[in-house]
Amino acid sequence: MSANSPLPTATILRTGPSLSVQDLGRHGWRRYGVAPAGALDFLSARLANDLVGNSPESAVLEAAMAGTVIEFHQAAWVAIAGASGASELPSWSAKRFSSGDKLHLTGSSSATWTYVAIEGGGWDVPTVLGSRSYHSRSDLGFALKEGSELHSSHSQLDIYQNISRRYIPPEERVNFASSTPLSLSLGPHHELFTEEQKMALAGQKWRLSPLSDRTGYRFLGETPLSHDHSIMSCPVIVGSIQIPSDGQPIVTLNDGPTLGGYPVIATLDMNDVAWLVQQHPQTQISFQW
Amino acid sequence: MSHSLRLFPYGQYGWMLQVTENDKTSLDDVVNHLESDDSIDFVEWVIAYDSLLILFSERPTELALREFLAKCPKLKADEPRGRLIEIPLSYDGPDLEGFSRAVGLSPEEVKARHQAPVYSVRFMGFAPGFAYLDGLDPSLHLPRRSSPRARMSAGAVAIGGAHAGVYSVPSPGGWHWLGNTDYPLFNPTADAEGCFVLSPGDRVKFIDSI
Repeated sequence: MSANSPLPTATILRTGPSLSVQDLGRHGWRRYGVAPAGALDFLSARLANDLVGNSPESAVLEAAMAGTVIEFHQAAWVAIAGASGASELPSWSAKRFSSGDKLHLTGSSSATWTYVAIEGGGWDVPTVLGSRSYHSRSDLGFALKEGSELHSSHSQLDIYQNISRRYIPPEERVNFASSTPLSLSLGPHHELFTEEQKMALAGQKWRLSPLSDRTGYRFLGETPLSHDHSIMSCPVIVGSIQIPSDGQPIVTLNDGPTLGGYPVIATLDMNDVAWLVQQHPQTQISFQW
Repeated sequence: MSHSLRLFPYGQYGWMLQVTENDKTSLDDVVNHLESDDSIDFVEWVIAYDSLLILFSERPTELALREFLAKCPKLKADEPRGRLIEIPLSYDGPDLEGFSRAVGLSPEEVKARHQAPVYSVRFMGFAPGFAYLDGLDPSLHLPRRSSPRARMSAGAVAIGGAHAGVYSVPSPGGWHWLGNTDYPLFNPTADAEGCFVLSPGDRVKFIDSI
């Protein structure tokens, strides 16, 4: 069995700026303060798993930008989906890597997060509270670093023996370039904001701040929604748009705290969140009611 | 009871229940009802100070939710909820002296007033296993430190604003660090049952460690 065999399936030679194991998240523990974590762009993560015949909740590697280098020690089908490809394999495709092969993620100017899936049920790291997702703020899950050894969940690899490559045609890939305004739904504290402020949320372009990460994406705008309301801490969900007193919106993401202290003016649909997380800092985003 | 709860659709899968200041216990009643009644299918609930989020894979209509809430039994105010957990600690935190001065009491009085109440776990958040405890003596209320510490240890027993708490994992923190406990509140390697010692609705007593 691969999990017990002395030979790992792969070793992380370089992590790059941000590399973690993610599945579709750990759910059911928010009441204890446990954030769901999980793949930010779950649409691309699912496509990576599809390409190697895995179920959608199989654990993938999530990498930001360029720099991740992985070496394989067993022949295995590997897929990449999302922002960037590798020198050895374009994004939205899968191929068989031989023992000794390396994979170098190249990064992309159009999107941020890339997912690397391995056949045989995904990456086999220990499960914590029902999920293999890593949550860095609480160090929950298996942290990856240079030299980390990883196994595939099954010993039987090399499934597509007579196929040289699989790929997802362009019309089925996630389109990171489209820039239609993101739909807003009213949030539980929308009544604390004036009609003018609600119009200002939808009526201006917001620039994605570089101070954005897996806990939340922050936006900077010409006309912030400044206010002096304070609320008691309340539950926040992925896609909540909170407005701190400085008026610059924050979208809660998978690693964010389960409770927020700022009023929630609106929420975004999950498919729009999956698109949003792929945008680079300084990208201009707009919203509509 | 349900007419005093405001229901708000939250995202694609949630209902947020909000109460006014005077009606906090009705959220605890809803939680008990969710946990004991099978007639509604939900993924999870999250309780906060004056709001309760229920997440569904398919969100029911407001009417269906109100029908469910209408059947919710109201627990008596003095009916004990959850379990009582005794947490032993040493009052050896770096902020005990400064905190005592700030609230105008001796450290011995601070300890006595900190140990006197039976606290209740109002809600959890901020970090896995971090419980916000209600029932802190008003003479011990003190706003958080103006600049948080980079690292509070797991087991740090602290006070912030009107709440007492224990840090469950190491993290930055702005609460006043009064003491330390070895009692492990968060055990991620245990099975799901044993992972969290405290749950919303449990009660806590602080005692001297031997």
